Parts: sequence; structure tokens; C-alpha cells
Amino acid sequence: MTKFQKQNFFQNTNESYELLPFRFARINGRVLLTNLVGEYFFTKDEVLKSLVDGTLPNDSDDYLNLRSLHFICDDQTQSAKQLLGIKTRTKLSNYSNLTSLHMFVISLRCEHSCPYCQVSRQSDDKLAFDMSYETASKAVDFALSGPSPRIKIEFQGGEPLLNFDTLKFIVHDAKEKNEAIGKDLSFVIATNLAVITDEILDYCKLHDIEISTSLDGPASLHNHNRPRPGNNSYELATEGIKKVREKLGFDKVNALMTTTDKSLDDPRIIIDEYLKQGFSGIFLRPLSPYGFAIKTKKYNAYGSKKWFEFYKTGLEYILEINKSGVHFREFYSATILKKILTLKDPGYVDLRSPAGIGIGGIVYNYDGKIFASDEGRMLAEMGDNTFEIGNLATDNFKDVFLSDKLLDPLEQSMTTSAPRCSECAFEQYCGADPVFHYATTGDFLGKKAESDFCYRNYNTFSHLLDTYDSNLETRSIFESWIN
Amino acid sequence: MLQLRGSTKDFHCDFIGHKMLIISDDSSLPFPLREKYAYILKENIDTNLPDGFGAYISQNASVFSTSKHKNWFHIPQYMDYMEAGDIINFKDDGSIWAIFRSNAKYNTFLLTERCNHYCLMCSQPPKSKEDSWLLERAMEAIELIPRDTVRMGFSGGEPTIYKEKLIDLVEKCRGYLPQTAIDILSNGRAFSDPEYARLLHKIDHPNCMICIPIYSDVPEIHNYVVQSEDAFDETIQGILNLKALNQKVEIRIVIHQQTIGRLVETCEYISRNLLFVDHVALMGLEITGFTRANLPDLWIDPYDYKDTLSQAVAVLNRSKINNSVYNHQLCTVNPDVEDNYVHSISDWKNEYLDECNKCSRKHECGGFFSSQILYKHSDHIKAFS
Amino acid sequence: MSSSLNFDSQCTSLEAIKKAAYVFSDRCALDISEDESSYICKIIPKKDSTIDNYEDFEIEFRNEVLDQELRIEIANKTDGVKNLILAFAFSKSGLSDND
Repeated sequence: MTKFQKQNFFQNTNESYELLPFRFARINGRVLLTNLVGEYFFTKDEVLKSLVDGTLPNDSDDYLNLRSLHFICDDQTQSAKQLLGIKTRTKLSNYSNLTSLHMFVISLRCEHSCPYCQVSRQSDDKLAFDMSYETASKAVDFALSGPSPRIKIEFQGGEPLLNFDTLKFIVHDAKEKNEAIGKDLSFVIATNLAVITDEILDYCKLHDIEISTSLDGPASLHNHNRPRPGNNSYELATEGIKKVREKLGFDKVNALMTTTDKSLDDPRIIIDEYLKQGFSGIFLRPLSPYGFAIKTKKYNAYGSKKWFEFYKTGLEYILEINKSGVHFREFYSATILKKILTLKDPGYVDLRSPAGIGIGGIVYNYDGKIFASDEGRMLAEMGDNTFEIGNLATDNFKDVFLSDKLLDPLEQSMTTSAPRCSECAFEQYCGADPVFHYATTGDFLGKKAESDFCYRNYNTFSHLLDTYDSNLETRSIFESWIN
Repeated sequence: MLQLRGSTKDFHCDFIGHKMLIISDDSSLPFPLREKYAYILKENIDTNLPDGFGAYISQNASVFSTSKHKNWFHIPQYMDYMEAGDIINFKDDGSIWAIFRSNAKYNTFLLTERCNHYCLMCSQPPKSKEDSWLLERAMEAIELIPRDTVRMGFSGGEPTIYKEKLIDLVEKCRGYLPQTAIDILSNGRAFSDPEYARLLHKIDHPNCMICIPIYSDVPEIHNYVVQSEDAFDETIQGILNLKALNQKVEIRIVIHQQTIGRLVETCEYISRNLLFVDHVALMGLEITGFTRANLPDLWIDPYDYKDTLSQAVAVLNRSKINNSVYNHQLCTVNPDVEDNYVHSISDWKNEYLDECNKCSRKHECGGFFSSQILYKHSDHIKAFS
Repeated sequence: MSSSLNFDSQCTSLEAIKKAAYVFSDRCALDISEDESSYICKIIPKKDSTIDNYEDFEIEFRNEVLDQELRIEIANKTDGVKNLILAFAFSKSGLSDND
């Protein structure tokens, strides 16, 4: 029919286009481009150059894809700017609800004596190291007075179960006070499970409390990391996991590993242990530089280069497990992939800008001191109070969240304006860690060329994107992880 | 396929113009109501017709031969589906139009044949002549449609060419049929004017979905398919304006040779930029209207694109966007899209091939449009055992 | 041992050199001076870091300067539209996304 125009009639005749904000990085001989909201495109160096020169032919596939992904816009696609604005706003809206994670350090006492732990005390002195009802009640008021519609109370220690009375007091107090407020309230206990009893489990069942425990790997590794009288930390933890599952339900317990220099030898035996215990995934956690580690300079000894090798080996092994048909996730990768592939924020406090300190999670210490993060509390144990942002005895929510002690590190560490971060292709996926950088360099921002945080994340992002984009099978495994 | 419009030479009427009536088979209907109804005589028996109905219809002309009643119509055989509850428009020239069928899952009102697009695969080739009487009939019909109707649609042409008058229609729907969800098929460009989107929003219809096609993430391809320059950006703007006001929007993609190449990218574009749309419809090609003329440029065997379709559905599912696959046969799609597979939009289009009679899953399958059976369908139709 | 790198000041921006220097600040410091036609960058390696091969380092450094030039060019070409988009993102009008 002659009434129809041919396809070339609709070809764009205006060859000029407008660049939209984007950044680039080089990964394994390819060029990675990321736009204002973290959408990405792999290409060749020549394409990057011609893209910036304004000479990319408007009928090439690269042009069509880059325009579709909002790296450029032209006469046909003026809507791109508005869409980018909406996507930016969607991403920012992730930050509109302040602080949903509230950590209650209800006892510093612990029957373990783990060498990397800076905060625990081997003591029977309940008065000195346990949170009182009075302090607990103030912490509950504080937590419930924030704007977040969702409040998760995490009991921390030491070993929080050594102060089970206060734990019960907090659960009752929070539930009672929340009746009038109506927030979505949940509880989790971070415990090594060594002292868990049927009575405690019955209580957890009654109040729908979840358990988060530690599992560092097989018995040899776990018990090496976590000395206690009887040297049976592993046995108690695995028996405890079994008990929790029987009483509360299979998914009511999750486990976190603490990564030590000994862990770095072989991730596979740790992953095998998690598989054996029936977990659906593992968090190959970066090594924490605080406490004992930083004090003994052990941190620098293995640092993030060794961790990254550990992570890569572990991830490859986990992908093999998935290829054999067993669904098993690596949670650190899953978190990052969610940030790369969607506009949703997975709520991981270490990869946020503004940083997650205070506004992502907050810590109420046994003595009423308020810390911006768990790491900030550990720093205080080492004699540096920089991240002590208030005290329950004297400060309310507003005092603390508008204080310079919290706002200064948040403002000074924003990645959008930080040197190197502001031009980094991964800025949209990354975050600010003022506590880490303060602890290692003395300022909130840190020097990115020397930053282990930067090294670890830059390489993890590169590796994940490269792997995701190169292999269809891996791609579908990764996609199954982010749902 | 049912014929909704017919005519008879065997009729009698004393009105001028048209009369829209609901069919009733209730001879004891209260007298004051009868004027609005057309009494249907289904049986071939010579019986006394009840008095006072707006019209009388039957397939048996002889019943009228001795009748004293006015306004009777002999229904042609191809319209024997008519039954109580249907809304019929009678004209003084003997034409009969089943405008609403009470037993159909879904009724669509064609509001106009005029359109500012000229889509390669249009099933309702646009005409330029004035036809606003179609809108007027729809406005009339709304008063007669059962209040418990779940859902119905308005199509074109491009209904928004009526501007404010289309908004009046939506308002009338809200007034008469507040429980009934309505779909309006539109290319969305009119809503690029935020004022027009606001007019619709003001009506505050509880369940009104604007169904808008986006055929590609590449504007040149979309514009080629709809045969209109600058269509893409205006349509996107229209969707944004509607969603900014929380109006429901469905995106429709007809899958054919011109759209299959970037179907996955198009779904990715939707999942990144239009995450807030309420539904995405992935539709097979109906072999009617312009499609027949452009078939060499449009036809692709669904069996050959089934992996691409799976990928497209996966992209949308991953982003948790509601989506449905329409107008496909079960044997031409992969099992992984079956959760999104829908029988068909309307119930009376479904037809089957001989091969299908052997199929154990025929009852789950949407089958074919009669146009597909007549002109073109997949070469890979194979019965499930 | 130390070494120098020269950049033609007609075709290279000082900003790009400085940005590249910052990238390598874990390995060396740069002492930058200028004559009529070039920037002269004296490389001062850090004590505990090793620059084994100056030729390799020079290639790496020069490529980084080029990348930084490109980044500056992109930033210059897109700053306006970036502000426009951010202004829209922070404005009250338009989509309220998922709510």
C-alpha cells in the first residue's frame, strides 16, 4: 500500500545530540559507562571517544542503546531528562525514612573471649555492664519517636541473652508504647546461641522474635575464632541453630560470619559449612578494621587485597553450586547487584550516601550513650568518642539528629562531592563510610587512592558487572538473587 | 466470529431514527418498564405477544404476520445469539446492532474510526468521516448497561479526538456504573497536555485504565509502526502526565516483525522508566485490517520468537510489573510464560484448528482469532498429549 | 630514584594532571612546575610503595591524564543538563513515583 511511509521516512535526520551526565571506567579492556542513576553500558574506547565528540552515527546500535539508556538525548527523546529526574527522585526517596534499625546493647558481658572483639567483658558484674530498665525505657521512647514507619530492634552485646530480663522488658515496653503509635515493629537477637534455653525460645516464639547468630565456618575455624571455656562454640552454635529452627521455624535464624585472617585461606570450607547447615546463602563479609584488628595492626597485614581474592574464589564456588541446581546466594553480591540493576535501595547501611550512620541504624549502649553505628561504639571502646552522638539521659531524637556530631560526618563524606568519588563510574552503587575512613585515616572522607574501602568496592563492582555482563548463565543466577 | 451488526427487510417500525432497548424475555415485566425493553420471542410458537414493549424481536417472522403490535423486527439468523440483557440499537431502516452483550465477559464500544495514527497493523483502519454518533450511542448505552458489569472498554480510532466529550463519557460511567472498571484505548498523545490529563483526573473515576501502546524503546521504530512523526515522545509525556495524577495506565505492545527486534529492550525501558504503570500487555498479531496488507513486513511465527517473549516476560516479572501475554496459542509459548498467559481478551473470538481437537490443553488455550485461522497462523501448532 | 614527565601545556589541562596525580597518590607524589610550553611533573615515589618500572608507570599515568581530560570534557558538556535534571528531581511537580 502506498499510503504507508517506509521505515527510512522516520529516520532521524538531525544528527546532533545532547550528552547527558555520565561517567566511565575501564574494566578488562572494555569501557563501562554509567549514567546519572546508575544505568550502565559496556562499550569500546572508540565509541566513548566518538560519543563525547558528538560524532556517534545516529543509526548505529550503540547510539540507539545509549539513547534508550539515557546517556544521550535528541529531538526524538526530550522526555529523557524528565525520566532521569523521576529516577533520581525515586532513588533519593529511599532515604526519606530515617533510621529503621535500632541496636540495643543490653549487656557487654559475654562468656566468649574472641580476640577481635573489643567491647565484650568477662565479668559477672551485672550492674556495671548491663542496661538498666530505666535506660531501656528511654531507648524505646527514643526509637519510637523517629519518623520511620518500620522499626527493627536488634539486641546486641556482648551476649544479650545474659541480660534476658532487660530484653523482655524492652519487648513489652516497646509493644505497649507502640500500640498507640502503630509502627511495624520487629525484634531480632544477635546471639552466639551458647546460652540459649527452651524458656528463651518459647518467649521468642510468643513474640515472633528472630535470631541472628554467628557461624564462622567449620568447627576448627569457628572455635579458633571464638574461644570460650570448653572450646565448644561451634557445637553450641550449630545445636542452637537446630533448636531455633525446630521451635521458631526454619527461616527464623540467619547466620553471619566474621572474617578473620584465618578465614581468608579458603572460602570454600566456610561456604560448605553454610550449605551443610541448610542456609540459603552466605554473606562473604568484608573484614572489620575495628577493635582488636586495628589495634594490633593485623588489619593491614591481610587488608582488602587478600579479602578480594577470598571473595572472588568464594563467589566462583557459589556460582558453581548454583549451576548444579542448588539455589544459594552470596548476600554481599546480591546487595550490590540490586543497586546496579534496580532503582531500589537494598537498605545496606555501608553502601549509602549520605552514609548510613545514625540515619540508617543507631546504637544505644548499655550505659545510655548513643552511637552513630556499631563501629562507632567500638571506636569509643578504644578511647575515641567521635561517633558518640548523644546520651539517652539528656537528648531527644531531634537533638541527636540535628547535632553537628552526626551531621558533620554525613555532610563531609557525601560521595557526590568527594574527590574521585564524584567522577567514579560506581558512585551510584557505592556509599560513604565516614567511620571507617576516620578510623583508618583520621578524617571522615579519607584518601580514596589509599582507601581499603574504595579498593574493595571498586574491585567488587567491576568484577560483578563484568561477570554479569559476560555470561548468560551467570546473569540469570545473579538475577534470581535480587528477587 | 459473531456479527454484531445486521439488518432485516422484514420489520415494522413507527419511530423515526433509532431506538436503543434492552432485550427481555419476561412477559410479566411490570408495565411501566416495558417501554425500555425489546421483547424477544425465542420459541417458534404462536403465542399472544405481551403489550407495551418498546419493540418485539424474533427469528420467526410468522409470529408477527398477524400481530397488531408495532415495532417488530425479524432477526437474521446470524444474530441468533441475542438474549435477555443484551442492548440493541434498532434503526428505522431495519438495521440492528447488538451494542452490548450481557453474556460476553467483555464488551467494547467503538467510539470513532478517526485517528491521528495509521498503524501498520491496525485492526480498525481509520476513516476520516465524521462519526460522533458512535460516541452518542455509547453515551445512551451507559444508561442501560447492568450495574453489576465488571469491566468494559472503549476503543477507536482515537477516542481522545473527542477531547472534553470523552471526559463527559467517563463522568457518565462513574455516575451510572461506579462498580464497572473501564478501559480506554488511546495512543496517549492527547494526555501530553497536562490540562487534558487533569480533566480526566478531576472526574475521579474509581477504576479507569488508559491503555496506551509503546511499540519500541527506539522512537524511530515506534513512529514507523504508528506512522506518525514525534509520536514517541508525546506518548511518553502523556503516560507521565497520567501517572503523575495517579491515573491507571496499561502499556500495550503488539508483537510483530517490526517490534520483536527490541522487545526485550523495550520491556527493560519500561521497567526502568515506567515502573509505575499498572499493567503491560504483550499481544499477538491479529490478521485483520491493515495487517493483511502489510503482512510481509509484520508476520513472524510466534514459535520463532518464543524465547524472546520469555525474556521480555522475565524482565517485567523481575521488576514486579503486572504483565499478560494475549493472543497466543499455548503450544507456541515456553512454559515459563504460562503464569502470565491469558486466554483472550474477549470470549467470542476464540477458534481452533483441527489439530487442537487432539490437544489435552485446549481448554486452557486462547486459541485463534478467526482471522488468524483464515489467513495466517503459526506453522508449529501441535497438540499437547 | 626519581623521574620526570612533561606535558604540553597547549593540549593538556593542569586540572587533568592534578586529578591523575590524585589517583596515583598511594604510590607517589607529583611536583608540578611550568615553563613556557609545558608542565613538568617530577615524580616522588612514596617510601613504602614501589614503582618498579618507570616506563610502565609513565604509560599508565599518561593514559590516566587522557581519561581525566575526557571526564572534564564530559562534565563541562553535561553540567547544565545535570542541574536541570536535579532541579526537576527536587521539585514538587511531576511524578510522586510509587505512592
